[in-house]
Amino acid sequence: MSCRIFQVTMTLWLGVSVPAFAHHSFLAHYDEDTSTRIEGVVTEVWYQNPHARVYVEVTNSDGETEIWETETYPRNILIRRGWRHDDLSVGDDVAVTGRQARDGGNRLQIITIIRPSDGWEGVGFSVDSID
Amino acid sequence: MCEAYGRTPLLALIGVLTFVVAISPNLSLAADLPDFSGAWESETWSTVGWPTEPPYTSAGRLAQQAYEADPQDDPTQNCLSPALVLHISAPFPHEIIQQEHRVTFLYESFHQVRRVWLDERDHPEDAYPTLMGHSIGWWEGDTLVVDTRNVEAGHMRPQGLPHTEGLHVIERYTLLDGGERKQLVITLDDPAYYREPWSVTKTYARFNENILDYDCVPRLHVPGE
Repeated sequence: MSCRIFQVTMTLWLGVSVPAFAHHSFLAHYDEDTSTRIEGVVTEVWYQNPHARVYVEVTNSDGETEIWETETYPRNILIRRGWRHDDLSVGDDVAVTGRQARDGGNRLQIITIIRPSDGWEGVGFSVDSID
Repeated sequence: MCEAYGRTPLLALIGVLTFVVAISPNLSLAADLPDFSGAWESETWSTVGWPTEPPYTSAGRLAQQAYEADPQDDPTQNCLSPALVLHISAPFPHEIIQQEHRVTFLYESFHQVRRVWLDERDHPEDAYPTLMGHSIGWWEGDTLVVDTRNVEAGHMRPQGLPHTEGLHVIERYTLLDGGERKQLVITLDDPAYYREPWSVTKTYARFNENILDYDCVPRLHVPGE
């Protein structure tokens, strides 16, 4: 099985007030009060503007595989922050934490993305980011 | 025949000199003007300084609420260029080519180009709105003032801040720290959506990296397809 990975999801109710305006390009789609962690195998890397995306195949608690879409900064910002176009490849095992889609879909705004095999870390948003 | 060939280099030289003389007023800068030429990047993240609660009119608040109700409204997510102000507020560098009669902004954001005319022309009376609008400029001491009208209706931030075609934008650029930094004070006046003009101050540093291409792929992808 290409995917030997499990998924752990947790939701953190941070107990902080919602910003005065909660609509943002990202926060319109992702819930800033959640933190979800997935582990899986990279199936696609979209190293592009307007936002870069990494697709990850995850095995859920029922033993079924599902594809998660994880999203981060525009490619041009990744370049300047050190994430090269060929740093991440299809087939890599990764662990991603992020804010989950408000509609409950399998999508994350990346906070951290790590490849455990060599410790590579990509570029995600800071926890207190309001983008 | 041979005589004609013999004169060709001389004629070419005369032609080149004539061309150089003709365009030189546009390439040279008055020695006493600040020089904004070169690439710049914002010193703060793109959200910094933009108001969360601007002085909306009732129509402006309704437009903001309509935008918030539909997250798909953001044109940038489908690789459609936004209007002027969102390029100014975007987290991407820009380059300036400064000439005596014109200042040209080359935004990395969506490869947009903007020409600011310094030749004392007015805004056209019969202009139709465009994404970047029509910009004229002048010098007030060491400050470059840019006045823009005829901008298509749009949003000033991904978070919203809608504006109508009646938007009037005034930008005031001033060099800081011997020209290594610059300050922008941008004033937005759109009486249909805001009760009074409001301003945002940004600072920029000289940018020594490359301005990149802005290749964009619309967000229409379905995983696995």
